[in-house]
Amino acid sequence: MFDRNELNQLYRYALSLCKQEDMAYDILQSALERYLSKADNKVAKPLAFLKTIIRNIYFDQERHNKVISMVTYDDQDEINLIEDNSDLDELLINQQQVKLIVNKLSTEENELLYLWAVEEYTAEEIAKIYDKPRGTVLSKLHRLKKRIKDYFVEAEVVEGI
Amino acid sequence: MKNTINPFKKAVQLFYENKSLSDSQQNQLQSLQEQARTDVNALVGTESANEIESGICHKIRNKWLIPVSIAASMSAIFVLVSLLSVPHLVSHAYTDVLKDASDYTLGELGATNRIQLDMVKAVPEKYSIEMHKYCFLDKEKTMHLRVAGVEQGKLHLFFKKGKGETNWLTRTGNYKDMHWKILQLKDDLTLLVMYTQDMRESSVNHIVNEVVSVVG
Repeated sequence: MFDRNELNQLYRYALSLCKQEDMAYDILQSALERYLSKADNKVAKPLAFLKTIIRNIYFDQERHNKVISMVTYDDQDEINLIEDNSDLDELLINQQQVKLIVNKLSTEENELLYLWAVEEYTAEEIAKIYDKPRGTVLSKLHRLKKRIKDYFVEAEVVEGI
Repeated sequence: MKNTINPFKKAVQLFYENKSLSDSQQNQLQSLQEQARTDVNALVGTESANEIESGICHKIRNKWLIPVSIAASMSAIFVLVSLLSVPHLVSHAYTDVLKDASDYTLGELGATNRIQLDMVKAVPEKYSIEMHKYCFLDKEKTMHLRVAGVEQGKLHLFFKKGKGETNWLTRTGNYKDMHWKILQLKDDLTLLVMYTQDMRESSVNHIVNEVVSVVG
């Protein structure tokens, strides 16, 4: 049985993928039904397993609707990220700006942002979820942070934030 | 959660923390889980009952299956061995053959053994009767007749009163250095034919046919 906090956590993860609250709930419900339909659901990490189901359902739906632009990150994209200059430490943003960013980012970027910022997974943990090398995830994170920073730089210029 | 959270992360976390399921959504998902748990319990309960029932039957089956199987197998082996093994009559007769190998007695045939007397007389003249005498096979008085082949070999005829052993599946075969046949001439008369391997088969058949022809 998943408690209220866990259900909220799963809902937020679904939301990070689809950005729409109703859709996030539908996906969560479908995932939960799929999980519960297996009588023998003795999974070692139920939360992680359910997140995988949520992810699969979302991408299946999007693939079916053919509206998603699948961004592939090849291993060739790996760069040396030991010195990642696109740190967001100093970036001060309000909730409205977060909403704007979330809406602007792609699905994969949003998911990555959620896992990194909210779940606070390390690059290695995210790499396990994606089944990708750690370097690829670091590369994705680097690009994500850069994109967010660029967005703010641009916004500052345009809107004087 | 890590201790040092940068403001950006904090802002994103706060953004998502504000996104929560409504009470009705929470209730729906909880009831979904409750329903599933009830179904699973019912299913597990039914399966357990079936497993217990089938387990008991299985145990009962196992309890009897092994001993019955062993008993059946042993019985089958025993029956098969007894059917396929050489009859005791043959082995006893062989012992008598060896014992009387140097015996050339031509004993008196009593008037009460008329048929046997006639059978002895029925042996074609070209074959010489070397011996005839009474012996006991399986505690039954039996006449033992030894006939020599024209050129080679020995033929032994045992006229035994009564029926042969009814469980004899094999009525012919080899025992040590001799061939043997058992013929049920009458309900109360059995003929055991034993002959050495150098005895001609045609001679054996000739003698036996002549002897048996006496029996009406």
